[in-house]
Amino acid sequence: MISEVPFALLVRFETAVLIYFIAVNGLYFVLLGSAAIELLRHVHEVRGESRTRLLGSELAPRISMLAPAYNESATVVESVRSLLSLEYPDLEIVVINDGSSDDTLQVLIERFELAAVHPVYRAELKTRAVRGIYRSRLTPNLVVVDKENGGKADSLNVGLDMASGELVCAIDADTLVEADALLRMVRPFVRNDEVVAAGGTIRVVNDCTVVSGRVVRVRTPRRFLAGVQAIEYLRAFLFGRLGWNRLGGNLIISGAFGLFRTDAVVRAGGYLHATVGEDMELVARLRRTGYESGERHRVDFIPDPVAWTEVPESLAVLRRQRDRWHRGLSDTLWRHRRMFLNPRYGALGLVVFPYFVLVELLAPVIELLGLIGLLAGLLLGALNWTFALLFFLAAYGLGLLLNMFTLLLEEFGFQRYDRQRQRLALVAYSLVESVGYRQLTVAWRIQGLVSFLRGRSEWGAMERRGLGAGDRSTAAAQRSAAGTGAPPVG
Amino acid sequence: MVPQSLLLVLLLAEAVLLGAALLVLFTSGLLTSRRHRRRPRTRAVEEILADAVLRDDGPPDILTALGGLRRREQVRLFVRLGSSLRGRERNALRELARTVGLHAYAKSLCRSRLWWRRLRGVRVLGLVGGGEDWVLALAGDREPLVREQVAHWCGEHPSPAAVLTLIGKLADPSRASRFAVQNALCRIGVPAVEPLIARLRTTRDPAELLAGLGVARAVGDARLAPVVVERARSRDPRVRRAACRALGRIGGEAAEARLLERLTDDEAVVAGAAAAALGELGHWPAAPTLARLLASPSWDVRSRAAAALVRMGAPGELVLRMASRSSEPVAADMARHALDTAAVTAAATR
Repeated sequence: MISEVPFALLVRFETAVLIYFIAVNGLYFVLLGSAAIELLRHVHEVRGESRTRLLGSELAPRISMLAPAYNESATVVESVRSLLSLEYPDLEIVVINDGSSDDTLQVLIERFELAAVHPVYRAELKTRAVRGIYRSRLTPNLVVVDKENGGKADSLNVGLDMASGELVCAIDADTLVEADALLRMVRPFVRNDEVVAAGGTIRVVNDCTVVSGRVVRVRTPRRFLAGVQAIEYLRAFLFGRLGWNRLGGNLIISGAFGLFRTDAVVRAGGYLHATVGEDMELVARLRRTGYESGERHRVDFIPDPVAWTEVPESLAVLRRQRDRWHRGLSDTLWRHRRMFLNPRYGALGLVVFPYFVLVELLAPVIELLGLIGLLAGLLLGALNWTFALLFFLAAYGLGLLLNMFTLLLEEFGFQRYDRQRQRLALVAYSLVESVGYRQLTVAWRIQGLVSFLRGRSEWGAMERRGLGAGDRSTAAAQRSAAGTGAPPVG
Repeated sequence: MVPQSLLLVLLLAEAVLLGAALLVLFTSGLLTSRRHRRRPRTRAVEEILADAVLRDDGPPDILTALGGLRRREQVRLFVRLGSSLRGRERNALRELARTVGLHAYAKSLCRSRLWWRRLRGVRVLGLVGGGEDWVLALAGDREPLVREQVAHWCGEHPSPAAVLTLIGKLADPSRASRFAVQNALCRIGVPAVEPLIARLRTTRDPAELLAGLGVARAVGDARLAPVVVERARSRDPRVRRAACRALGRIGGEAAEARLLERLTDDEAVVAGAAAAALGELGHWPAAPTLARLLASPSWDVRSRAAAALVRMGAPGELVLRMASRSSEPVAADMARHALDTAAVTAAATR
């Protein structure tokens, strides 16, 4: 039998963990309620709405799509063609060749009949040198920029300097954007001058049928790892991001698909190079500078413009991705730590930012410590086995409930998975997510936090197996880009 | 410490909620499957409906066919067909909609206390036609989305009353509604000119001015020139900029003179807008001034001046070629860039 003092400490610690658990899950349910209200409003808003009205409107703001490309020779033409076919009345495509060591630029020059123009551009942001600017003889709205290698953030900054659009859309080279996604995503900008950034939903494309850069048939992933990530992404976007719309606004836009006001981003200094979470960091900075300059900067999440991305199907790649995301989150929160509980930043400082610190950042640590404390307590007789089992079941049940309600949001909002066996598959993935997979992600996130504390800054490599069996036009290729920058909620 | 009994209660509640959620999820799935199975039947009715609309003597079974569908499906069918029809066929569709009771249904929706039902009512009336009194009565609705939809309706049914309603709504506090109003007025075009002139002359609200000037640009009617020329001297740079943009479409001597004056505006965005507008008008006497602006410290002004010279055709190109040999490197670079880009995009548009 252990002495009384450690026993009391252990019990107090476990009590604190329990209170944390109750508070976090309580907040999740508040988020869920908020998401449900937002979704209901959104469904009513879009049902029967005519999106083609904007297609013919002179008032639609120009959008510049920024597509960084690094060693993408196998797929870049298809990606660019897919972007050129997006439904939007005033669209510019800016492809930034980030010093590729393969023949990405040559492929673009040949396929789009590019001609070099005298390289003059805005140059407001500090970037690596631009080697050339090319315009297409085939499509006047395509601009290709060749630059020295500098990474994704640097490429996006060059894109910002080149862009002529009032709005810029940053996408990953291998993200598939739905044809009418821009028509949907531009809505908050034409409706509210305070909106400086908007994000859409990223969905998992693994095992979907993709033809010529478009998802023509949606399927749930067949492999376990991709399947649980499908659930995670639904939870992150439909419940997490949507919920925050009403509760102080979002702090994250996915790097795979986000729309920004060009001048607001340039005034804020563009993307930061010295971080692996450049998309998160930019949004946090936009929101912060809004408060500091006295303007209101809103960041909205719109659930129905959709982009599709391939998620890792190997543990090694997934681990690197989650490690990087958590490093990026840690870095962003550290850089903007002055907002923490600072009333100067309104709801952002008092609610949103503390949530991201205490829940998104530290939850894995508290979960791990709680688990260790629980095991210690059980082994030393300080805690009751029955209580521990009931507690575990209750925690598991709460996680499952959140997933089920997310699936209900998906069902009543969008019904992309419209067959019963797909619903069954998603329920099955939800059941097993918390048994093994969740614990792995906790470990990876802790690893990311430790890496951040140690000062690691590299991206890691992403392996992809290609976009579905039905895709005839996109080859599976090794690429060096990684992830979507979309840390999940919960 | 939390008592075990509380955990048991929590577990029970979770089990009940989970069961309910699964039941709702799979029931919804079953209903969806049923809807999918009804699709061939709905499609058949849609074909009968299209046939009835396109023929002068509609088939007698159309009402029976429609009667077999739920109200929601009826609305969906009419809305889908209505968006692609014009003229006589659209009028025929509207008559049919009235006959099956969709107008009455839409009007009852417009009277609802729930905003989403009012929104739906206006949308249905927008596509099946009619109901002006009901819709215009909602122009002051407390829900911005409803006001927005009213604006869309007015754009598609531009009666004098609808136009006046839209002009009045240029000052709507909701940006979303103002955008919809602008869009609608742009679509309506010339019939909105006189009321727009009257409003632009009298309003002092910057948001209303900006919205109105945006419409003036889209409409581009010469009658707008005096009031827009006057607004191009506003103290608000946003209004001056919007006025310059509008003058680029409206044209005329007074517009050109005011735009030339604005080329030296203190605000770069205004000078840039004036440059772009002069390019749009092809006003080549502005070419020498635009050439000097190629060396402006503002990127916006330089690039717009260059683009304007390109738009002027041969005179502008000549000025650019001369500027490309200038000793001023910024101007020379911008001129070369503009010439190169023009050569490539000319090939693209051929």
